[in-house]
Amino acid sequence: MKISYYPGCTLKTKAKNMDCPGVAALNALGVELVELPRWNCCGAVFSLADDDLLHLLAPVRDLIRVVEQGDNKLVVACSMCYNTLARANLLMRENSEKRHTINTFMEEERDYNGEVEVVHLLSFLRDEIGWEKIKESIKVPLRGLKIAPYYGCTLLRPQSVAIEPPEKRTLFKDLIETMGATVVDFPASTDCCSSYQILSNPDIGIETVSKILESAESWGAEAIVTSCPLCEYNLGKRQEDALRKHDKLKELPTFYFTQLLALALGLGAEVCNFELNHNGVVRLMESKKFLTAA
Amino acid sequence: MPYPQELKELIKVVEKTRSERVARKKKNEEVPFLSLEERKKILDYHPDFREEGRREIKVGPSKGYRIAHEMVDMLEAKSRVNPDLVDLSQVDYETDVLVIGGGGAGTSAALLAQEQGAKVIIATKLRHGDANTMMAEGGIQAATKGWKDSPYYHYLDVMGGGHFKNIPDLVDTLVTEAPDVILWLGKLGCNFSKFPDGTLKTLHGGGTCRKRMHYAADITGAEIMRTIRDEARNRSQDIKVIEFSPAVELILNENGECAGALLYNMETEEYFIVKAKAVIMATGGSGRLHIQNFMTTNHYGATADGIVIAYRAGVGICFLHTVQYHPTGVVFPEQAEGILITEKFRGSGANLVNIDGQQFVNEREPRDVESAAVIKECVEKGKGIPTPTGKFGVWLDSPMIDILSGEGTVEREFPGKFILYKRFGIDISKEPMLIYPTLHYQNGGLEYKSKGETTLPGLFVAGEVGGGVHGQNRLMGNSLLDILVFGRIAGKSAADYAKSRSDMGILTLDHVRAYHKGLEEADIETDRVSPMLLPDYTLPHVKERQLTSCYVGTLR
Amino acid sequence: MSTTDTTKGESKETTSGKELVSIFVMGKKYEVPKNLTIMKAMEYAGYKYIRGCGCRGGICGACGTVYRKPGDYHIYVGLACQTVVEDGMYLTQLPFFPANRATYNLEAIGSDPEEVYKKYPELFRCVACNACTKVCPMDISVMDYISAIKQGDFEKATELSFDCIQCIFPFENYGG
Ligand SMILES: Cc1cc2nc3c(=O)[nH]c(=O)nc-3n(C[C@H](O)[C@H](O)[C@H](O)COP(=O)(O)OP(=O)(O)OC[C@H]3O[C@@H](n4cnc5c(N)ncnc54)[C@H](O)[C@@H]3O)c2cc1C
Ligand code: FES
Repeated sequence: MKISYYPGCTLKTKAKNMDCPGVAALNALGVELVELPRWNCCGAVFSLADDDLLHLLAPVRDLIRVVEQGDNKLVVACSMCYNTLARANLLMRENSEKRHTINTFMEEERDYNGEVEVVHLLSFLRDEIGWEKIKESIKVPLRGLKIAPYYGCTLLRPQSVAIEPPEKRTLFKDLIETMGATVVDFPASTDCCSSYQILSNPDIGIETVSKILESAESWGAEAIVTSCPLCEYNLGKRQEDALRKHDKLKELPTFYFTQLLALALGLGAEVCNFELNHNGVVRLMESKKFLTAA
Repeated sequence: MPYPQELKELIKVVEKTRSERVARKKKNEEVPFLSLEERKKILDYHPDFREEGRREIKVGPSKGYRIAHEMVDMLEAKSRVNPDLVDLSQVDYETDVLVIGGGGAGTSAALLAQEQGAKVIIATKLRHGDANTMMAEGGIQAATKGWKDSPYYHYLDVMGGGHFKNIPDLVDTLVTEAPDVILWLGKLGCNFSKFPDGTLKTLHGGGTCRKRMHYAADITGAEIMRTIRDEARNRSQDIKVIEFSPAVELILNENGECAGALLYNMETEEYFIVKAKAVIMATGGSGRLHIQNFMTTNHYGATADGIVIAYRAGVGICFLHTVQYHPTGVVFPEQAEGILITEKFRGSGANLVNIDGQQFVNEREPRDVESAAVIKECVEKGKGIPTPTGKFGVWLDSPMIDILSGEGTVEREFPGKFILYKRFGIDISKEPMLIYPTLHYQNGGLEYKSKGETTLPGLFVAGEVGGGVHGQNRLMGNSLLDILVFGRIAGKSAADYAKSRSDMGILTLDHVRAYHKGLEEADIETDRVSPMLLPDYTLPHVKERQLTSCYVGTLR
Repeated sequence: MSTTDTTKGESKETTSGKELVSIFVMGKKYEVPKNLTIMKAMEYAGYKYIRGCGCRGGICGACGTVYRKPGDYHIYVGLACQTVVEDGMYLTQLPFFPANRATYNLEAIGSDPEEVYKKYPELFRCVACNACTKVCPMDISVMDYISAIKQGDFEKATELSFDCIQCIFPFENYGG
């Protein structure tokens, strides 16, 4: 029996002692290991060398801009950006070796050591403004609106940058209550929305979305709130696909938390760009009379 | 390089008189303008008025006309090719409209011709856009502000600037088409400097009675050129561009009509034949002829080719006895030699001063007068500042601008020049600039009429290569306008002409043979060939060793 | 009266009696006067330009040049007509660069960054390495203006990129 064989560079040099006996042994067993006539490095040097630091350049540069401004704190509203920036920041703070590599590579920038604090807007609302203060400013309480808070992945994972412990999460809940609405916590709140899978594997994506929607509905939610454009795309803009596939699903308007907050503060629909949400959003707000109340 | 010690010492003299001059400037006290009489007298120092600098042309349609030796040399020269060796039956390209020259005039002509349905070829010497157009900084004139300006005032300014010698018809067309050109550029995406409400910003230019100079920061020409070049690219289905392939002769037919051109691929040294129903000559100016040995602001390819080629084919020339020298060109450091320093510096308060730190001329005299005054100061009065390169110049005292308008003004208002000097270790907000007049613009050129047509049927002219619209002296900002107005017109005329033309006749280079014969008859014995195509900057020490006796064999 | 004596055109530049430096043009050594620009130094050495020279004034982008200095791992980029030679500099000109260019109709595309993405999908691949900025001979912050486009801020992009002289403006593939 003949079979194609890939030895690899090391087996051809420092580990000939692995290659030769192997080939011989298999030969003894009646198998001919036929070395590929044309081969190159398997890529392990690159993929395992842990130097994919190139991807950190963008977030670190942004953090350097903060320092250049003379600031030490950066507020981020998008969960995905928050996650990327916070992780890059952590690495720059804690991993001196990589920090050095990155700082050396970006010689045109000042050195950065993780001195900025990256804060998600939700945390900022709680810690720097305070629920009490926000409550006092509410002009249009979202009374009677049952909202399911959807965290998705990037606010809570990995733990090192989670905005709060997943099992004791309260930020969305507190915000929703502060705005006068009702919280509908639901089990799928921290599930993944399927992320970019929706593009490469739409079927799997839509199934995942359907499950999340179904979970929220079964717990009585009338709306979903999120802080991530990708989650919003999947749960909101692609909702139509889920509805088409599953008769029992009902339309479930999906909002950004900033939109609900602006409405509650009486800033009206003008600042909310609802035209960029999916269809059901305005209808729901109208039926609840939150748009005219201001 | 930074100013050497000798110059630094001389700068101290300038600094000594500076505060006094700033004080005068603040009080609006200026060197009085020269009277008309005095202007006339000082113009004797203008290179145009040096009789030794010119001679009569002995051949061709404008025989007897006295112009600069360097230009006559080009006209009294043989073709680059022996017409007998060119096989005109082997046509390489065929097109409706051939545009010769990919600068502003040529490119706008191509766009308009294409809009008329013509297939267009642009043949150009360097890259598309390597042209004087790219280099224009100051701006483009147009009476766009109807509430305070009108083409009428613009007309008077153009005529006044040209010493009332301009061809009125052309000026009429220039000023009336001007506002449309600005609108057209805007639609194509040209970013003129604007107020927040979108109104176009405009400035005064020398010799204008209204603020009608539109600009795009300090790179107006580049912004215009890249806009229209980009648009030509967008229409590459119909507009082909052949680069590094200058035209070296026009091709006529047996009826004496223009029928194409002979192109020269400078890289492979082959010649190519283009047959075209109409041809537009848009090869720009001639600064690189270094008339009277002057340095120049012009791009590398400004060598009067179009004039030479069309002249051989029978088109006359006019106003070439006047040449525009820009009064303030860099004379030192050597690396930046010839580069233009816009009059905006003087407009913003910088004095011109001599070696004693004294002013000698009002800073807002017309270009020719200002240039003559600088030359006089250096040549006759001996008050010029000697440069380490063996030349003379006068100071343009730019640090005054920061003193008058606040620290940082020079850097903010003149970023291009600030960086240029900074690269050489000179901070022009602290140290003055050494300047001398530099060859800037070819006021005259080929004769043409207001539709771009010439005496040669099928040949149209647009841009700096043409003469007449600016009379004897062009005002700043009217040339960018000229090339776009007449570029567009020539493009349209040529496309119309191409449409109406059915029979192309038999291609011939007989006019070249005839011209050669004319040279002989005029007893001009020369081995000069023209057009020049590119200036020769090979230095003597290299030339001495370039000993190949003739170009044969495996190596040229 | 004579003006010619004092005003010499570029062609007649005197170069005698000058301090010389060595430069390596595409690996070949030439002694040239210090203080010349790369462009004039190459002409001094005997080169005659066809490509790689346009305006001679720092605005056309024809003369992009890549160079290194001894003992320095950096790669430098400059305009030959603007950059002064240095001793030991080794250089080559990049008179052409095969770039990508989309065709568009300005009236039709509006100012949506999505349209730009469609024309230039490589924008998605930016990891902010900033090499584009470092390589720009005009010191334009290329990364920042590309970022501005991605953020839909065309005004900012225009301002940041305004001094672009299109040294790699794609000239290829539209010849007749
Ligand atoms: C530094 C500078 C600053 C200026 N500032 C201003 C200003 O502020 N305002 C203003 O109005 N004007 C200004 N001008 C003048 C103005 O820019 C030019 O007069 C005008 O742009 C000329 O345009 P054109 O299309 O006729 O020629 P160009 O733009 O020079 O184009 C001619 C083209 O033809 C090519 N060519 C030459 N010979 C041949 C050949 N044989 N075959 C094929 N192609 C050939 C050239 O290489 C070039 O690409 C300035 C000029 C310079 C040099
Ligand atoms: S030759 Fe134009 S930028 Fe150098």
